Amino acid sequence: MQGQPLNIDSNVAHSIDGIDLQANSNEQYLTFIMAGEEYGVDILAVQEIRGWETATPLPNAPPHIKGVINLRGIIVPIVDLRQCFGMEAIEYTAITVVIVLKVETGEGSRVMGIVVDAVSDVYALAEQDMRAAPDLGSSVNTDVIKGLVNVEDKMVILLDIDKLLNLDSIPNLSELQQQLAGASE
Amino acid sequence: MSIDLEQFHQVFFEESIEGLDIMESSLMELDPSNIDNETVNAIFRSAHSIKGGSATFGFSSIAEFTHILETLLDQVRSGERGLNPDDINLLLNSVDCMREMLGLIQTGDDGNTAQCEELKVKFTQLLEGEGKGGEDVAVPVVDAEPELKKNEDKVWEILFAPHENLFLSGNDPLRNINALKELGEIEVSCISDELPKLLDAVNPESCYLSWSICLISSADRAQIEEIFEWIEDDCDLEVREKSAVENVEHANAQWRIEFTPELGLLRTGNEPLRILRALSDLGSISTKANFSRMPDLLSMDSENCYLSWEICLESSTASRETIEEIFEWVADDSEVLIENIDVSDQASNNVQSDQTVQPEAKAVSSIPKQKAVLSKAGAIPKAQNTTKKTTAESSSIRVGIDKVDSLINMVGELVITQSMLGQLGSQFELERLPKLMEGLGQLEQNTRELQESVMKIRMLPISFAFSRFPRMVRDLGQSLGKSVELEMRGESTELDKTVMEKIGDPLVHLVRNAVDHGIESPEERTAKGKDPSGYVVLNAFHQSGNVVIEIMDDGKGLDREKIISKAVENGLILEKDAEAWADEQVYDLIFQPGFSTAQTVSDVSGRGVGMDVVKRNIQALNGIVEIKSQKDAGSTITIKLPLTLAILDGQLVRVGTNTYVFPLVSIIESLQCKKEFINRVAGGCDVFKLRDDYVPIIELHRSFSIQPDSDDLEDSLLVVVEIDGDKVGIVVDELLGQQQVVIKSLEQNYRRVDGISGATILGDGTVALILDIAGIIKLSSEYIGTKTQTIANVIGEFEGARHRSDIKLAAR
Repeated sequence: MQGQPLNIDSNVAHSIDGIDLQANSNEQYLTFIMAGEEYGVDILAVQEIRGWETATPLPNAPPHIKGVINLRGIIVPIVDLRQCFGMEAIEYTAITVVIVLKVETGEGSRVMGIVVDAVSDVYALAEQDMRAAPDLGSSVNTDVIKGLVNVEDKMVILLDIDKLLNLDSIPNLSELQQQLAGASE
Repeated sequence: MSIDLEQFHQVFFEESIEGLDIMESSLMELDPSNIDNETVNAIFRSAHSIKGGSATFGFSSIAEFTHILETLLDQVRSGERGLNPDDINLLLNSVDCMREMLGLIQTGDDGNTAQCEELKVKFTQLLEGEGKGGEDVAVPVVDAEPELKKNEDKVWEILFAPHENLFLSGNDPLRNINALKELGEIEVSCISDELPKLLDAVNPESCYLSWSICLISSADRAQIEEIFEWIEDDCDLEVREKSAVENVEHANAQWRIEFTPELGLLRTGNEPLRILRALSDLGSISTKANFSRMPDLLSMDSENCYLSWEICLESSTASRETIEEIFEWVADDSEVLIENIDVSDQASNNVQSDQTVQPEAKAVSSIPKQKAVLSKAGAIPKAQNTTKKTTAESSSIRVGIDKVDSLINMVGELVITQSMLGQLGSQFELERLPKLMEGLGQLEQNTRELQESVMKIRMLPISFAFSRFPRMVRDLGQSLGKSVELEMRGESTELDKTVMEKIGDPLVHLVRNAVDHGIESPEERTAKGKDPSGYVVLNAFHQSGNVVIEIMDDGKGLDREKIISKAVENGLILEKDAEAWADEQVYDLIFQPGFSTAQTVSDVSGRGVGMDVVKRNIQALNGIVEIKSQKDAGSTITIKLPLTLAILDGQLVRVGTNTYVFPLVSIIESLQCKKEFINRVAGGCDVFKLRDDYVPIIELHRSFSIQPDSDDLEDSLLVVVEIDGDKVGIVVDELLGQQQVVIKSLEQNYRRVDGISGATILGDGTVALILDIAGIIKLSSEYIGTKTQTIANVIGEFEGARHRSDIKLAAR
């Protein structure tokens, strides 16, 4: 474990200067804020962004599954990403945002909504700006993290939503959250 | 400009499959002793249009096959040939074969199956056997003696290897081959071994190819050699006659090798890969690894060999000894099973001698007879291919023009209503309110009619599902040595396409059961004083918004005692309980998983899987299945299905803040929970005394872990529902309205939720969940805590108790 943080530090210095927001890259990421942290998802997976509306709860569902909503005739499940990451749940208000995503699974694509605190920005990122998620030991599953990127001194965590919203095991990422915060300092 | 024919392929496949269905049903109707011309014509027409279509699209395998079929049918049509039951069986087989070929072609294969070759040979034999000159007109035989011609077709093997400079002399090998074709049937395979690599200088004026030709003809050697007379000096020609016995030459042997190494194989320094490589030197191999011995990842030892292989070795000249030699080193550490998949004994006897088979024999192996021999073997890799390829098949339905017309009319009306309402809305005054209400009423009516018409489009007559049964019952009857008559009633009853697709397999199972287990053997029937031939009826009709399908047989019926003893043996019930059970309850036991009373397991049915699957499938369609039976008089299985899967009549209920939908069909009644009628049974389950019945109570809020208005049953309502003949009371807070709801899938974007069968969207745009009663009962058994004791058992006990008290009462 000791070698890992060192590696990251040397990379940080390199990529802050190297980043070019206008980079000739097709990879654009929509970022959103949750508990002060910025997360990004591939913009091509985003179907729409909408305000929170009451979802119909599903019986015996895990707490982070808030229920289902009617999206123009399609039944779409809503996941609270905060609870999914083990953060404290907050009350939903009129400005709470649901990002509707198209998730690719083994059997095809699924439409799902995630509840986040607020939508932030859209960044164009090149592959080389991205750094792999640090190895945080076997207790934390970093599979769902596509990479970390520094944008203007902020760390953005890019999520692999296809893995994250795999229903069978939506991971509890509370520990990951803490350790990431620790690693980036 | 070229037209992209691919766009028509789908239509061709659909039409051909329809054509095959027609052929099949017509063949079933055909009575060999009295051939009806119209039926034969129908068969001929179908075959002809398939042939035409396949030739147009370049599916030569089908075109060739149907051509032969057509020739035969043409003779039948013109009265030159009669048909016997064997011929009809052959024709039915060919229908199956063509179906398979079509399927293969759809996956991008060339559609040549071994079965097709086999059938082709059979047909050719049939045609030639009685051809009596009429068939052989094409053969320009002048000097052949008539007695030779009769049916002395000989098989000639010709190796035709032109010299490189053949073209320079202005000769064309194609012409020779065409001339050979005039003599009889030929099969040509091209030997391109001589062909240089493209990069090495290929001289376009040189002939690198040689051909090996198999000719079935009555022509003699002189005739054949005459064809090559002109190029005699420019080619190597070898003409050999093969007798019929020789045909079964064994150049193309197929070996199936099962190679199961012991776990420690790798430790002895052996390498399975090396063996496979050595095998591939003998001929082309296809291997399939078997992972069944693979342990969990954790308990895996990297030194162990967990895999085993199934190897199919093709076109090899190897003998068993050569193969065994390869495995010699590992013989002690593994199990090797070598099988020759040739059906003919003769062939396997020839194995030894075939090691020295001349190279040309390898190529000439495509003699029809030999293909027939190989058919079994060839079928294996083919079948694997089909499963591997997944077709992006788009399904379509044919809709009658009247249905479309009525739809268009309805849309027209809808547009009128819409414009009327639009106008009303743009300049609305209060006095025009009645007009608005009228417009809305009209809109409602339009919508309902439109909905009905759209639903009708998806409706197909049930004959689509029934059509396979005459054939199936006939084949089954034949293989079981029973004579069975099948009657189908109500074939025009319409059913939703989705339901139809899903009901097919359960029906097949039930009909099979009826024929296999229900109907007795003719001797048994005669002994019982019944008509020796059994009678199975398939009946379909509409009944109050449901489609009812009945499968009746006049066989031996279900044996109550046998079912009970089997159920006791399997630990499903206790013997003492069984006495009091009603017949229906006992018969219901056969729907339990792993239940079969068949004395012998046949390949048709009786493995103990099936009836539970049937029941599950039907329940998944929101349907119910019931059995009535009487010993020695037969059984009747009744399936009730909803007309459509897309729309459900629902009863909306409220629990706390949630709205749920009950399928209206399952509700018997709803009533107030009166305390005096509630009893608590040991084990924690409450029961409600409903007249002289006891109904277990399930609290929905507890099953679903939600907050109700009040925990007091007194304030709640009890919805009594029936499932599988059992009644259950479900506690809800309030009954809302009844309405038709459109069923939406939860699984599309989420997953299955226990106790929920789907979702729907209410008038206000919110989502309401549709309840799955069976699922709720299962859920509730968990909170009741007695895991071994399901609600069903509770019901059973009560029913039993009730019966006993009834009996006591009666005794008094």
